[in-house]
Amino acid sequence: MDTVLTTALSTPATEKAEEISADRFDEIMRQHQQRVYRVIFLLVRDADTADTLTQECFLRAYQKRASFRGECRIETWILRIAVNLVRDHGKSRRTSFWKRLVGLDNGEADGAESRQFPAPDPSAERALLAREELQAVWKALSSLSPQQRAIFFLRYEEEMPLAQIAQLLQVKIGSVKTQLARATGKLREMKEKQWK
Amino acid sequence: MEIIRHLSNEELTDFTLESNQRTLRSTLEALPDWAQASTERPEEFWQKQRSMIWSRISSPESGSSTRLVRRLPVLAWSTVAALVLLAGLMLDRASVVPPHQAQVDPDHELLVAVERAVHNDGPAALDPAALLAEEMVQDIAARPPIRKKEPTHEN
Repeated sequence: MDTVLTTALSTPATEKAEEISADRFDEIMRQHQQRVYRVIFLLVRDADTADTLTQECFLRAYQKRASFRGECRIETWILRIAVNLVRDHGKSRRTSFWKRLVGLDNGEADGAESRQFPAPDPSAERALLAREELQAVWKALSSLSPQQRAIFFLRYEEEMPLAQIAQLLQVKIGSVKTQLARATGKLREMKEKQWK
Repeated sequence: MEIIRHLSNEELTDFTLESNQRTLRSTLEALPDWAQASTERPEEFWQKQRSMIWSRISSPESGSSTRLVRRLPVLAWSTVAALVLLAGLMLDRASVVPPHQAQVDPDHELLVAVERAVHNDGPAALDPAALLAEEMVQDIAARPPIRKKEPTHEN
C-alpha cells in the first residue's frame, strides 16, 4: 500500500476567499469536477443522483465561497460540502422510505441491495468489469455506516492521506484509523469467504 | 522469564489495519482504477454539467437564499415589531376592567338553601313516619298516669 500511503494531493495548500472570482471558480470546478462526481457516485451508487449532487455541491460552494477562509485545501472544503450533501441525501432517502411505506410517494425501491449501477455502455467492457468489482466491494461494506464507507473510499479510492480525511470529516485521525480497520475487516471477511 | 508487552488500543488498530491492508492489497490497489472506469464520462457530459451549474448560479432561484440572507435583518425587525404590537394589544386588553358583575357570596347562598330546606315540608316518602310519630304521641297522652307502687309491709 505504499502508493496509497505516500500519495500527496497536487492542489495548493491554501486559497483566500477574495481570490475566488467567477473565472477562478470555473477553473476550480474544471479541476475538481470529476473527482467530486466520482466520490459522490461511490457513496450514492447512482449516476443521476451523483450528477445532481455534484451540481448542488458546486452551487453551494459558489454561494458560500466568501466563507472559505483558506484553513484547508479548497479541494478538502469542496469535498466536505459533497460528503455533507450525500449525508443529507441519505437522510431524505430514509424519509422517502417512510413516505413510500404509507403510500405518499411512489418512488423507486429503497435500500442498498436494491440500488444498482446504471446499465453500462456495451462498448465499455472495462467499465462493466470495474462496476462488478465495485458492486462486490459495496456489498461487503453495506453493513457499515455512511461515514465509514466515506472514509474507506476517500482513503483507498481517492488515496487521500489520513490527516486530510480527518480534516474533511472533522474527526480525529485515530477515529479515521479505527473506522478504516473496521471497513477493511469487513472486506477481508468477505474475501476470505470467497476464497474458502 | 519472557516479558510480554500488551499492545495499546492505537497500536492494535494500526496492527489490524496493516494486516487487513496486506491481505486486501490487490483489491485496494485496483480500487482507484475501478472507480475511474466506472465514472468515465465523455467530455460533453462534464461540459453540460458545468453549464448546468452556471445556469443554476445565475438563475434567480439560486439567488433566493442570498436575497433571503440580505433581507434577514428587515425580516427580523418586522417580526420584533409585530411581536411588540401584539404584546401591547394583549396588555391593553388585560388592563380593561371587565363589566361589573353581581358579586355572589357562596356562604349566603348556602344559608338561604338551608333555610329553604328547613321551611319546606318533608318529602312525601316520610309521611307514614310522621303519622306514626303523631299516633304514638296521642297514645301516650291517652294513657292513665302510672302510679308509683307503695312499699308493702306484709311481712
